[in-house]
Amino acid sequence: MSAHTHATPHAHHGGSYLESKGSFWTNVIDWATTVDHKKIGVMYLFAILFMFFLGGVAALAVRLELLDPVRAVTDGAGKVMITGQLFGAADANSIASGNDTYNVLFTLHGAIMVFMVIVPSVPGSLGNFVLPLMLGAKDVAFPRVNLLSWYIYVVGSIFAVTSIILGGVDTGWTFYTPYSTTTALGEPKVVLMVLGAFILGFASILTGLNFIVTVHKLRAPGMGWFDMPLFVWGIYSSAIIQVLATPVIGITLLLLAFERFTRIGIFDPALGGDPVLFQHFFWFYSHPVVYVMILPGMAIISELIGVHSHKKIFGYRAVAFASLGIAGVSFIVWGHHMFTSMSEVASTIFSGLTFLVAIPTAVKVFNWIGTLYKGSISLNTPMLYALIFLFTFSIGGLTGLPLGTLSTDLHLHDTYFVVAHFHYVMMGGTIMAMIGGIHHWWPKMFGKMYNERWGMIGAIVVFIGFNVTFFTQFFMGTRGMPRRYASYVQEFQIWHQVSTIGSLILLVGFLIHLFVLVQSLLAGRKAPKNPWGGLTLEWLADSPPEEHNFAHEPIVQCGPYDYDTHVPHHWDPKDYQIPEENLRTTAAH
Amino acid sequence: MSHPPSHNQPEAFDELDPHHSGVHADHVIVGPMQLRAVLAILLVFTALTVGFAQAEQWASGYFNIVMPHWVNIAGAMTIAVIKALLVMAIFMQLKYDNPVNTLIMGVTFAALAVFIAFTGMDLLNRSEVYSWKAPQIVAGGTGNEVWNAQGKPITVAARDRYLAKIKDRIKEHNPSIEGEALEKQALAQYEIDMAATVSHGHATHGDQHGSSANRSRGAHGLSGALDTAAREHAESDGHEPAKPAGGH
Amino acid sequence: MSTIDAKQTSVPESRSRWQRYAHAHHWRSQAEEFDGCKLGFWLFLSTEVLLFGGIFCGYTLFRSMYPAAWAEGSSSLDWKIGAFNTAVLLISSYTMAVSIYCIQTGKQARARANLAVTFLLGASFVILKLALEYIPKWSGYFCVLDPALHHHASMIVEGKTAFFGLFQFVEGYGGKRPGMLFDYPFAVDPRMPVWWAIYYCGTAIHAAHVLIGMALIARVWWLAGKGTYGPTYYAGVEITGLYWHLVDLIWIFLFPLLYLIH
Repeated sequence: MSAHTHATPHAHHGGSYLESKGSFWTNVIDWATTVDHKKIGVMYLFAILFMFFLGGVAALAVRLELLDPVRAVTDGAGKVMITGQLFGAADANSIASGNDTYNVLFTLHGAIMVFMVIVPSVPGSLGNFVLPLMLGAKDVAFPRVNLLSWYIYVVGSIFAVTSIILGGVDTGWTFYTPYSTTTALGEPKVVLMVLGAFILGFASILTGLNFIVTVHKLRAPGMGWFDMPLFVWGIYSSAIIQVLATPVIGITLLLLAFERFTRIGIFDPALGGDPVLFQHFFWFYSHPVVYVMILPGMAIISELIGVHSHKKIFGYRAVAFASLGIAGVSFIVWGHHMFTSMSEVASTIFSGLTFLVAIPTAVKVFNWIGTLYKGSISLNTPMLYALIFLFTFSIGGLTGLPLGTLSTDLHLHDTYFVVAHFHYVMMGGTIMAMIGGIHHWWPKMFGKMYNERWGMIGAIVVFIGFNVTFFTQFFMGTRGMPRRYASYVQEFQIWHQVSTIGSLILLVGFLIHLFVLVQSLLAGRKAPKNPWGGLTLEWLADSPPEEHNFAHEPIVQCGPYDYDTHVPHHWDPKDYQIPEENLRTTAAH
Repeated sequence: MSHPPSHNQPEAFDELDPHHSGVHADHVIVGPMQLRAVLAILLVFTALTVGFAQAEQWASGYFNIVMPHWVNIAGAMTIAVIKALLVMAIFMQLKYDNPVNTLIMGVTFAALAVFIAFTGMDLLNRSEVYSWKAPQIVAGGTGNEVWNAQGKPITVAARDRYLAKIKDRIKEHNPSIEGEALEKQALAQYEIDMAATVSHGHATHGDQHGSSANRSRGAHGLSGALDTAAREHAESDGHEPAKPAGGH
Repeated sequence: MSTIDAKQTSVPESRSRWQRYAHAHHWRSQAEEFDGCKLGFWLFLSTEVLLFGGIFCGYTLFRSMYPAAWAEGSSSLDWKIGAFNTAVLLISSYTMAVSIYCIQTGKQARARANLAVTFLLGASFVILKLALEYIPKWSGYFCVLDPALHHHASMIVEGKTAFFGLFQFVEGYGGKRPGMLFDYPFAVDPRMPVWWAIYYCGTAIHAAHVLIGMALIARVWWLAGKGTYGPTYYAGVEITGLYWHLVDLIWIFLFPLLYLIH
């Protein structure tokens, strides 16, 4: 901890941020007390991947239970047997307990994946790591608040995991009242889960607040608002939602906890409250937060498509304003989660407003496709994931239209169609974008290249597994298979079996990625400064960057995607050859 | 790309930093005279809003001039908004600050308005298309469902408990009283006590109806016409499970 | 370790802390840092506004749905206590603003005195709230200082006092508690528990913010004693002030909504 002034940032020149500081415990303490956005980003990444593993295990358990419907069969001796139940012993008395276990598992899967994985995923890990680098800043605006945010995330996750250890909750991740305020009243597990989500909200708020101030105040000299990479626009828009929407879930969950403790009547109709009010409170947060999940994913895709097409992004301002537009619209459409519980007047209005979301979203998709057109595309793992995103996200988005239409939604509400829709958007959108983003910035984060061939194989396996898992669920949904049931009628079994097989393929795909990344850490080739030929500022820094990111404060001299006028710096075409004729190059300035 | 030489003067960055020009927060000093003036206005407005509410009750109590309900609400909220704007502009220095901060507050209040308005759009319009929907939630929400340990609604249990206390008190004074007479005297005392409590804070109201105090007050809320079904239910008999309210 | 703590070392120790303050290295200048801190804090304040927004939303909608219960509820609150507490908070906001003025003009001692007054006013707000509002509603013990007491003269239980005779018991006055604790015998409207739920949640969360604000004020008071703040560096006081004014702002709305509108 040497003292130095801001005026001599290059005093530390040369040391990578990953460099060991001494003994093992010195390093542990250094990481635990670090205020370096890069280390915090890496810590977030590993914490989120761990929670992703937990949520994934719950998801697999859910899928395996659904492999076979629970049913009573009479064996040869006339004895009634229960088959098809994964949880609980195979006798007639255990159906209920087995179903309870199933309810707990899908709740855990939902709560972990939403509150602990997807919401913080991209902003917490890649956002923290990349955003200050892209802006040419030395750190985020409030580095200590940033560290605090990570610790709050860990504490909130510990609350939730404690709740799981105590038996878990079966309220569904939405905590709908009055069930959530009346179930298991003597036990702390529901309150622990609710408070866990409440605490995680603070982590989200602090991250968002930090990013907004960083974008406003710490842009490099010469970087105007429209010289920012689109990744920054996406993260900035989602940060606005994080700051404005998260406090409402805070008060909602606080009131829910109060209601459980003292039986005050705010949400429970038996106490004079109004359960639909809870749904409004909940979705006023949770719908905008859907865009907290997807906007950073879109932000990554803008980057991946721009960089790996080596072409000026089509309609930069349109994409940037579409991000803000989505953030704005997100606050007036939450009612489409409640078409079956709301008054008809509100349902109609919300249904109409919901279609507004399609406009900025489609603007983005068309601009990405416009960018791909006649670009010099290098087909590698990040690019493959960008293409996967375009496919899966488009399906997810388009299946949102029948769900936003009031009349069709009444049929599709709470069926597997909804499950498939939001998995196509959340997983096919955010998670696919995040895996692509991890591969894109992996060389920058750890200074190592990964195995491109196996990365692409992993991507293809994930793509196949994902579609097999979730596309079948559209069919089930339109035929009326309701969500959140451990059992089902015989006619759905084939669909469920295909879906479960798909989830196992998905598991194989993720394991391939895990091995690729671990192999890269252990034996990867050293990464050059700018392996992809990006023009944004993070590629000016070393791989991995030094402790203060840049030896000198960088000055922006070209736009983030000015491939038509600039050749990327430190670009080593030997690594990733682009057909020369496709790159209209002129000498840099 | 060439790198600039290392700077010792942070100000030198500004030339290369056009988007930061002009927004440097100069340390604005709000003087004590201005602060005192704002405090005085705030206190006067507090007195005004209290006076307004009192005057309205006084008028209705003595002259039976019942002002429409929205007058009371609009008056109090206008004054509150003026006070809040003063605090934000001068005490919190938004007036002299970076306009971005004002924008943040503006967006925040807009989000809050959307939140309340859209939620109200649903909850206050339950009866618009299918009138039977109006008391749906109210049905569970009569408070009658709030059973206490003895299996009674909490309001009924509280009333019984209070009656028992009154009976004990009457018996202390007059141990011979029994049965119907005791019952009657206790109920009479209950009515008197209730009237005393209900008129608390309404000394000039002149309301002697006691138990019907809530009926004497106009049952208009913010929404007026929108909650007719729920209101009729509330007025008819709160202690009975709601029936479908019929057409409105 | 934390390089953002880096201080310029060439400055003589004899100067006070605010003169020696050097901004964190990732900011371009101290003015930028101050501006950024304020921007960040305003964003935080907007989250506070929306946190209370949930209470205000619940209040508005329940009020619209159950007007009788709301009229009944607000008439059981004493506007005199509310108005007095409003004045207390407004004055404390003023002293907070004055203390920032004093720091800006280099009058550290006066600034600390004003911070202390602000702290005490905040404390008296909480104490008044407890003694005159929460305790009577909870237990039926009524502070005899309360001018509204005469409405209950007929119901005072002789000889039943608490806190050295400061509180007297009023038959049936207590029991205006939230949720399952509610047993208010005069609750003619069955939805009264909902009113008290909103009342307690709103005022209790606000009171919690007052306590947090008092802790922040105590912190800057202590730091100011060590010469941390001066005309060129006072971000801590400024931000504490913003927080305190927000607490005031919330009460400016809670007061008429709970006490005056009926």
